[in-house]
Amino acid sequence: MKYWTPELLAPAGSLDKLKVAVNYGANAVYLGGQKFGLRSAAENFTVEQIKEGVEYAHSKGSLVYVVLNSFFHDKDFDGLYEFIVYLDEVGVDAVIVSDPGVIEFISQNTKLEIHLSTQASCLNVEAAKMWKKLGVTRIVLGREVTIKDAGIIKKEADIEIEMFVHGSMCMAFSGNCVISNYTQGRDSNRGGCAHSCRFEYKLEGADMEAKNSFFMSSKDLEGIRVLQEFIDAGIDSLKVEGRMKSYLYAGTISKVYSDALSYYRDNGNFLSDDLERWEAELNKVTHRAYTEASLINPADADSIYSDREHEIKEYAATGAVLEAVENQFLLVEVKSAFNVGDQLEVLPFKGPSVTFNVDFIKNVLGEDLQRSNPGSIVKIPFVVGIDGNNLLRRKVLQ
Amino acid sequence: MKLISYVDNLKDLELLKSAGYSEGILAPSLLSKVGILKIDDLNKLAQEMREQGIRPILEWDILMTETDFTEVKKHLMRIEFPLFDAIRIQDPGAVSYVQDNFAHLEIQLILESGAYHNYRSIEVWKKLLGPRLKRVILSLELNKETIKEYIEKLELEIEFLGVGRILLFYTPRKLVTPLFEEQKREYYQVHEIPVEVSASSEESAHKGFPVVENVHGTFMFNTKDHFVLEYLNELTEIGLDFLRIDVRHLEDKSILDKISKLNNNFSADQAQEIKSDYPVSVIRGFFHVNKSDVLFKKLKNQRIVRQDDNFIGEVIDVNKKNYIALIIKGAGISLTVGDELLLLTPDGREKKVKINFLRNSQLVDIELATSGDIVLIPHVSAISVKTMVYKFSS
Repeated sequence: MKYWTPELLAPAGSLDKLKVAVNYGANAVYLGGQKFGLRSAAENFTVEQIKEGVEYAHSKGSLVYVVLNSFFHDKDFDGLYEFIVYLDEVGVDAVIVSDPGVIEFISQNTKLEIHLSTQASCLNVEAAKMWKKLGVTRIVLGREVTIKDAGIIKKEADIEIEMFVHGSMCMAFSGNCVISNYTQGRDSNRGGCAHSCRFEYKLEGADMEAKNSFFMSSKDLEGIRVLQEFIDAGIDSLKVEGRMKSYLYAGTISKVYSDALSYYRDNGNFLSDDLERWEAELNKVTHRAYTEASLINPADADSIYSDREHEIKEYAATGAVLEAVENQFLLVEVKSAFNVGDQLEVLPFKGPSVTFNVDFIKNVLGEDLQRSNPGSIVKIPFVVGIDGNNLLRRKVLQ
Repeated sequence: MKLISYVDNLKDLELLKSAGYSEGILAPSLLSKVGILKIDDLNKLAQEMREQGIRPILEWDILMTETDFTEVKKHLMRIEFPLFDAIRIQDPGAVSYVQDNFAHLEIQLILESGAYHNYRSIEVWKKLLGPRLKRVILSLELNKETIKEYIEKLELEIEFLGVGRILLFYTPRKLVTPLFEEQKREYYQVHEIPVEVSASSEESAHKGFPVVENVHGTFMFNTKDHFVLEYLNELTEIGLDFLRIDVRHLEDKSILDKISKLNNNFSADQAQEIKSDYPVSVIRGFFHVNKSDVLFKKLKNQRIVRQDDNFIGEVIDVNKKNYIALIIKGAGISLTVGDELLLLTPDGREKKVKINFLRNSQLVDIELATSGDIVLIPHVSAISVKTMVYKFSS
């Protein structure tokens, strides 16, 4: 017997990251085109890349959602018709939207499924019913909603529910922060967020001694220990934040949550000896201190990340395996330098990571090197069980 | 154009009455982001306003999780809703609830936050709420030309903020009192006392953001207040129905009377004088123009954005005088010996190269490479990693 689990939805900041997320177990990915999303600085996808991404994901049994969740001004509708018709034609599985005008426009012109973005800050049953009337089939709830409340919303509004399970968090109600608009001239709700909430501020007044604090900065969300609660509440999809983050992040987070959900499908529980390993793996990607935020109880003072200068980075993304030529070498695209004699870890698509020593480094011509340089490809010893597209990482000193 | 403002006590009511305001907003702490009225006072003031001929409008602008909403509903029965002429709402859940439970109340929809910066989105709400929707409160991110267009097309009452704080940030989390020492923190939190501090960052040119924490969470406001009184005559000409004056944060509210006089008899000098006397720095925000999306193109190097036509792949290694390594990424495209390539570097240079050899990673000559392959081609000077490679077509 196989037990039901929610969909695992991973970020795809680029076509390469889409492939990484899918290969490491994401059931669905979300991505942005060159317009209409909230990550203007991300590589994002051209229309042709969207088509390639959809074909690739579908060939592996994964779904593709496209974000159109910026807050549209009237002129932003230019080009939207052509874009959504294209998305419909190439088989995109759903679009993620925050704007009622855009929802109606898409409903009138395509058959695309529409998911309500967390940017709309849908937080309660009544609101969910209202959005359902407008034609959305799934709601990505605001991150302030507990899993328990989400279960109530799902049941009473009778609609698919998606919740964030991992990643960086807005401190503000999503869509309710315009600091960048007024301080940087960049519309945070059209892709220009300057992350002013991560700044250190000096606070004065109210009979308090002046105090410096990162008081608006949130810790990162981690939901690995409450997966059972998501399942019990019937949450349809678990979303990972991070289209701007690295290949290693996309791969690691997809793999860990995928492994955990896979364990549940087989066993009907999360009482695995691997739980600590999964948590340890999540600690290996660069992150702020973790919190369960509002998943169980409303986020309190403990969810504030007061130490921005010390983002936790235990491991560095070292590279990606481009080719594994049996008994000869691994061809590696180098992301960060490593030396002969270093120990690297490879993240296989299934199972625990594998550690090995770098006994040699050669350039493509076969010439020996002592050190690899970022932005190059090198040959290193072949390791059994390693596939092309596996990711490499290396422990770094704090 | 009518002026509206807030009423927190009888003194405010007297001010509004004497200045000729036709509506007063009552903001209970139960339902309003920075409202302070207890429910008993709310009901008394609403009654008093009715008797004095000023329309009482109830504000319900908090966002609510399901748990919060359930809690709020328990207290709603204490509010004497028949006393109110209209309700101002932001959360779609509250909108739905009011629609179903308070049939007599006009709905004034707060569209200042959220995805309501286009005509279509406002039209959707209009269709959904039908005749119950009487007024929309427009976003400060809309410029006057857009406001004018909406006034002409929407056939709804339109409200815009004339003077007041600009809300930049709203979270349900308590961010200020955790910084207090324990005894003081407990005192503020147990007694639900709102607290206001000023925040400044070395990383921002703007200093002294007002930050308010209360039972609903934490609110940060802009360092400068929104102020468009110099354009009062323009707003009147374009047909704006209601201009909101929110000076709850000021000690001296005599400005309410001055603005009323200005509204009755506009004078640029008078507007300037009010502005000069205003105790907080001011801005007109996006009233003239909103260019908050023009910087986006500079946020990333457009030269490394792939163009789809004839795209082959990307340079992943350069070995001077020996080879350039490419990864073929273009779907359904192949590379053969004899092809001509166009290489576009991240710093904007263009180079052409004819492929006179193609080798795989084991240095074996090959005739054809397809998507996913890693190949070596002849070296070309001044090419770097991340150079985009296209099949050249004249």
